[in-house]
Amino acid sequence: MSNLLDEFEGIKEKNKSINAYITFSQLDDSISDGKLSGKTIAVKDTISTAGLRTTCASKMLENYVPPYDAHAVSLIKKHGAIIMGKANCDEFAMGSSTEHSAFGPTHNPHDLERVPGGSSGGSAAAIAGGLADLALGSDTGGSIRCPASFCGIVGLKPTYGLVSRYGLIAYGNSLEQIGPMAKNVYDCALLLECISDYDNRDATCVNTKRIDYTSHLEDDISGLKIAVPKEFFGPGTDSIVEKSVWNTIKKLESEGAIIEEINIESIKYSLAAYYIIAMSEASSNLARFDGLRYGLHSGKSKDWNELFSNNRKFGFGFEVKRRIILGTFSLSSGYFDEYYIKAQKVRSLITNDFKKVFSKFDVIVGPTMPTLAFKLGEKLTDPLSMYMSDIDTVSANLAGIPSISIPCGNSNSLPIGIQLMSSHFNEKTILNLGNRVEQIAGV
Amino acid sequence: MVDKKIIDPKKYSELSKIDLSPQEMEILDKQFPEILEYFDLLSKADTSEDIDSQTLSNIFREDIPKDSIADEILDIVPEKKGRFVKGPRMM
Amino acid sequence: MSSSIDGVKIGLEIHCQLTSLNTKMFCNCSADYRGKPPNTLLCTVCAGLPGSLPVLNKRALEAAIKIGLAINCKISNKSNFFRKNYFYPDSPKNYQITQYDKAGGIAIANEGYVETNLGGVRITRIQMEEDPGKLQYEGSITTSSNTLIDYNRAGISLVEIVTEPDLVSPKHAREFLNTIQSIVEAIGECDSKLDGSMRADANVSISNGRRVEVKNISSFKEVERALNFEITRQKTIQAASKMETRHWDDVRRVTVTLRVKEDEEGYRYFPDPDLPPMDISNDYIEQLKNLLPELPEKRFIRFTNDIKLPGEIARILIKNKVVADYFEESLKYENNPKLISSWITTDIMGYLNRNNINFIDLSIDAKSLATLAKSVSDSQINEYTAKSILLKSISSNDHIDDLLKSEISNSVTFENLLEIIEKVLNDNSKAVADVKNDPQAIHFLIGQVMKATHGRADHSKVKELIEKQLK
Repeated sequence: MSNLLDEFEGIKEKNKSINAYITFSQLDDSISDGKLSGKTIAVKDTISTAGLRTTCASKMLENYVPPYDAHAVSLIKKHGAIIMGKANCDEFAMGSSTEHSAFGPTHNPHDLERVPGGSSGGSAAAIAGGLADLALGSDTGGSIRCPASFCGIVGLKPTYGLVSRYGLIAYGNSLEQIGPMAKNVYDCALLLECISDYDNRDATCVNTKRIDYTSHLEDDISGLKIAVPKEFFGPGTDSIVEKSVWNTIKKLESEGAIIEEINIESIKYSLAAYYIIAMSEASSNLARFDGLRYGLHSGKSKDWNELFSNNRKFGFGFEVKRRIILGTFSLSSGYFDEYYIKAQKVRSLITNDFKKVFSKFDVIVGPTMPTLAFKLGEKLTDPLSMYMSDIDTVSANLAGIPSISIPCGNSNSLPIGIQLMSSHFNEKTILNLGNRVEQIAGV
Repeated sequence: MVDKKIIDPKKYSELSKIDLSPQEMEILDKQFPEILEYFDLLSKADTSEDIDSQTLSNIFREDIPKDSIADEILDIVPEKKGRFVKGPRMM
Repeated sequence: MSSSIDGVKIGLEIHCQLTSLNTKMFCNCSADYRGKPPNTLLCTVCAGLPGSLPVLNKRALEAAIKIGLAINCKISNKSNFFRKNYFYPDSPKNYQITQYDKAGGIAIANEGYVETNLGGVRITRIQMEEDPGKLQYEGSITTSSNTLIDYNRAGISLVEIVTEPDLVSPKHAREFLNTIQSIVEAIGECDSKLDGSMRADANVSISNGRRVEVKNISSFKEVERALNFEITRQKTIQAASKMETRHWDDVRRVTVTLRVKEDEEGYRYFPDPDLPPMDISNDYIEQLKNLLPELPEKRFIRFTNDIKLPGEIARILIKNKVVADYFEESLKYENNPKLISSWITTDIMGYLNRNNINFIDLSIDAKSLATLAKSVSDSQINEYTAKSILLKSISSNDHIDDLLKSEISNSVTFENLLEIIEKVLNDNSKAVADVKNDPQAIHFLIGQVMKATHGRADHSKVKELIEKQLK
């Protein structure tokens, strides 16, 4: 353990160039028992940690210290993990690049001039940069899988309802899950085992049988039926990404998996449906930040109306403001039917389409991201182009199905991720397949 | 289809209790129509079929009191008067 | 339905706290907030801390269904929660978890009906929702430089009862509120004696004018006052020309315009993603129906038809389930409804009201009251004596049985009485002589005997015995 305390200074030093962490813990040299004993973990700063500052990468919560632990945090503590600190992210988890942080962007360890992906960019960069063994992220529209792909690590978004959201500071609460991020599939499976305990404090947490995910990793994959939707290789997809992913798919075929290209038409509506739902929920979830009970208080004002408006003006970054205002608009009378209700109907359509696919196939495969990690600042002026990068990941959140990103190749040392999705509560299958991908991808 | 020109970021920023600067207002005024035009893609989706999305139901808890953590919660309140949370005047 | 004057139409929105619950609606904090120091009953959920999540109190659903059944509503087989989004300092999340009746929202109950003495009222719906915190001002809302917020009440379970605009006068509204009060008390879910446990907002219009909402009415007495004021105000301006919300100022006794919260358009209702919907089976509804006690209306009919109590007395008894239960308990031991009900409604309740004591704290148990009534029926004591025993017992905490015992032992035996009569007749020979000429003079003698027996003797018996002696 004194090893870790020595390393800690080195980690803090290295963090200066990567900026994966917003807050470091006070480490001591105690070691606890458990499945995660001795392992270091970065916790995304949208996840509540008792006594440890939790900012959501926002000025609004710059000095907020939660009086309680998220369920997932108490579980990793129980299993002996050492929390290194709070990982940087896009403010309130809104973003795909970790550039929308009030504490500066995180840099991709593979190329410091590029983004690590988002919104759990700090979590991914911490692992890729050797600053943590494991990480907790959260995924609302791809926020675990995107940075996993860009940073060349493994990241899994669990089935909606598998992991308790108690303590996760909400952004899109019908879409998001806390999930494990790690260097390899085994560690990812281990972490998932630890954090997926049932919690009756989250009414959307499903009380279903939890599985030992690590004991199914070496299951035989021959005969596994894999669907490859054409919609995941849309016009914005880099040819190098397409090539790398298909390469991996072909290798799986030679291992006995049965591959078939299919169409899931409704995927083309997934991005619009996702953003309307996420922004609508966000506009309500972030209403509580008014500075009265916690958070940024901007000082004297003439009445409560002015106080709230000022606190939120100074507390929130522009991306957050943009999404809240758009969300408010979508829920407003006159537009509610056309936007929010329509988006929910499209969501049901997509969910149903995926259900139909899974009645014939075991796994859906495609790229996690359409491109390689882009340069810092590249997409900042055009929000829509930033939103478009989520095109391959959002449908899993809409349908509530589990999805994992595994490194499958790279281009000029920039990682490429392959995405595996399965039906509800079938994490076992994608971890199993993911493990095989890891072995054959040779990354 | 909604007429993009009449969507006013000012109205919705007020409803969201976010005070925008004139520059921010200008930027949103430009970006809103483009984003909403993308969202309008949804109108092409055929959602006429009634799909029953099966979800969880009947999740309850027992009516048994537990200790509160009021002191810890009060500790992080920025402005207080005694045990009251202090806010500015109402009008 | 009664006809209205000036085309007055009043609708009410009554908020009933579910005071029978131990914990708040969506968290395990104690619901016993009255009299506690500010901000002492809080957790991550009711304080709206980031990352907190609501979980529904099972008893809240049960209580809401029972209230719905008691006011003759249809209970929904499916129900869900929506968010009502608005910013206000008393609202920890700046949205309220409530129920809605559009856009896929299904309230817990609909289409009910309540009968009152002044006409029936249709119930539109019942919805479950959480109470916000409480705001306090240093001075009045307009002069206070600060607002002080106590979140102890935030998250307390409420049931909102919404009526059609069937109320035709402020008096009708008051009568209706009293009826609802007796019903929710009877089923035990809302103790309306607790401060703030029942509040009402009113919607009022006159002859085709626009509807005006009147909020901030602190008690049911104030409801009648506020409505009377508002109707007069509307008549003066010849009907409201626009829909608005006004605030009742119970100090100045006027309604004032208050720019407060968003209108319906601004609330942006949508289903709360944190709360799964409720599936309510007909079996479950039937189960709860069987748990309901006899409701006040039914009891009234039984008291008047079967027990033959006069209407006004019955009305008083059924108003409070505790009183009605006490009356019937007493009847079990001594079937003298006329006497017992009269004692309860005049002597006992009169004393309790004058001394601000709750009926439930009455020191005389039902059986003892029955014993007292029995001793009158058995002619052991007369009604006058019984009353004085009753009043002595309430005010001194001396037990009725003890007082009765001592009374009877001091009471006038037949032999005593003869002795006393003899003495009186001897001592008042002039009066005795007078009787021969004026029969009315006997009353003086009777009076003397009554005085000598400290009023205990039976008046008619005394008269009989004196007459006998004088023959």
